[in-house]
Order: sequence, then structure tokens, then C-alpha cells
Amino acid sequence: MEHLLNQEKMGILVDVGEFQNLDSDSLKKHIILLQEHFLFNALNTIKGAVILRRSEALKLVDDFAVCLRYQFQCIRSTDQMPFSNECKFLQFYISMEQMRFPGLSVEWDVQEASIFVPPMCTSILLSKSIQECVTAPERKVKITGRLQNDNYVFQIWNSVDEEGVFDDSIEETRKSVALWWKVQCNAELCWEKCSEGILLMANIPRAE
Amino acid sequence: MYGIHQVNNGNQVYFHGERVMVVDDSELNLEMLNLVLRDFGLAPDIFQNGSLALSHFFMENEFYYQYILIDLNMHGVNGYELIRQIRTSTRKDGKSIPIFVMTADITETNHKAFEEYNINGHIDKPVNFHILLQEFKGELEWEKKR
Repeated sequence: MEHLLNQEKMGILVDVGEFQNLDSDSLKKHIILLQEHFLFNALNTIKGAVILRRSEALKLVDDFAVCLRYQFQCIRSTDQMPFSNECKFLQFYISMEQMRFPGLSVEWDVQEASIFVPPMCTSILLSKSIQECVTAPERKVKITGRLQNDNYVFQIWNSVDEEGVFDDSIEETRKSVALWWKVQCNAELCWEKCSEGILLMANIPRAE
Repeated sequence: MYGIHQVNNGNQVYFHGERVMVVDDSELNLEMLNLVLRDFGLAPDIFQNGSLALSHFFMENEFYYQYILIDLNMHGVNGYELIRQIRTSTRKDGKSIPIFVMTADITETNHKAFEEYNINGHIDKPVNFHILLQEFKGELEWEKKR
């Protein structure tokens, strides 16, 4: 049991031993796929905003440039990135998804912290959480981040209902991210499906 | 000024009310496609999810639609599942209706799947409308020659 991410409340635990063969290429594949989807979907959304003469179009281009810069940083570096940079990307990602899915409500309550995270990993988690809830009758996501003792606790909750999907491929992605976080920064990621949706919780140790 | 007239800058009407089923889970994309396709003379019916599109397709008469345009990476019933159900149906137009897909994914594996699902063409995102309409037009001319 010591290899399990032992969170009593969490319904699903990640057995690190299960993923002995998982190498960095597997996660890199998820990151590249997310970057690829993000970039081309973002351009498509901007194009739509221009054609439909939405007032947000110009701001989207500026924000897109910031995100593109971050993506290039992530590609160049194998190091962990400042959490604040990841947050900027997350916020743009949210605004882009809200353009694509107008009913999507996102509550953002994330405290700043000088921690470092593997690049794009919080983005992967958020993208999967949004993906799960856009088919739900109520599209809601809540993101919180708090310093708690020696950890930074980052949570994403979405509004998938009881009948909602708990997609195998999404779970597989989450497992890859969980392992990657464990290896890279000793963070522990768990998730559970509860009656109100799916909750992810990451305990990220603060840098010494 | 930006807008639809920059997409169809010659105000050319290539089509004469051919019906297109458009399926995409992004409302913004649907709104954009609806506007542009209409401007080019097509008659789009837009659907925000795969299951709605599927039930509508089977409800309509055979050969009601001349084209289908699907976003591959949809939530719920995804593009491939939708195409599989259309292609394997017993409807007369199930195997022959031209199906085009839109995707932000550029991996090679997709191209193999396009053959497997008998997909007539794919449009990379962001959607280049001139390429899309040339693809539609090509199918139309090929159909006429047949």
C-alpha cells in the first residue's frame, strides 16, 4: 500500500507500480496533443470571433500571443515552470473555452504561490475536466488553490452528474499526470467521482 | 471592416441550396459555419452534439442531405462514432453521402482512420473556407460526372 497515493477520501488511487513502464514520452505525447489542439482550436475560435465581429476578438489575439510564448517556453525547457505562468495560461484557456462553450461557468479562486510545477500538467487536468462537463446539463467548473502548511493544494471540481461519463482515456491521462507529478515534484494527485461531480486534488510540496 | 465579406470576397455563389449537416460542439464554430456556408449558397442545418445529429439524420428522408461536416473531437458521441453509425446504416445514402471532418489534430493515425471510416476529406483547423468549399464543389462535380 505504500506505493499508493493514500488519500482516504479518494475513490480511485494511483498505483505507481502499475506504471513502471511509463516514460516521459507518454506524458510528452499528452502535452503535445494538448498544445496542438489548443493552438489550432484557439485560432479557429479567434477566426470565429473576427467573422462574427465579437468585441473580444482583439483581446483574444493579445492573450493568444502570451500563451504561445508560454508554450514555446514549455517546449524549450524540461524544467518545472513557475505556477504563476501556468495560471496565466489556464486563465486564457478558460476564456477560450468559454467562447467555444457559452454556458460554461468557471469559478476561479486560486491563491498565488511561489511553487513550481511540470509544464502544462495543470492545463491537461483542466482541459479534461472541461471536456467531461460540457455535455452535462449544467456546465460548471471550480478551481481553487490554497497554501496549507507545507503543501499547495490545487483542486478542480466539475459538474458531471451521476450518469455522466468517467471516460477511460481521461482517467488514463490523469494517471499519467499523477505519476509525472510524483516523479517531478513529489506532488500527489487524486480524484474521485462524487454525487455532484468529479473532484481532483493535487498536493504540491512547496519548494525549499 | 472585418466580417463575412472578407471570407467570400468575390461574393461568389458556388452552390444552390444544397443541404449540409454541420455537427460541432462549439456554439461559436457552429454560428461561424452557419453564416459562412449560407453566404456561399449552401443550406446548413447545425447540430451541437453527435446524438442529436444522428437522430435527425435517421429521421430525414434518404438523400435529404448532400454533405455532412463533422468536428472529430466532440464530447459525448464523437465524430468517429457518428460517422461509423452513418456508414454502417442500411440507408441508401449511408455509404455514399460525402462526409468531411474538421480537426485540430495533425497526427498520422487520423489519416489511417479517414480511410477506415470512408471519410471524403478533412479540413484542418482553423477552417479555411475556400478549401472547404473547393472540397464540397469537387464532390459535387465528381457526382455529376458519375
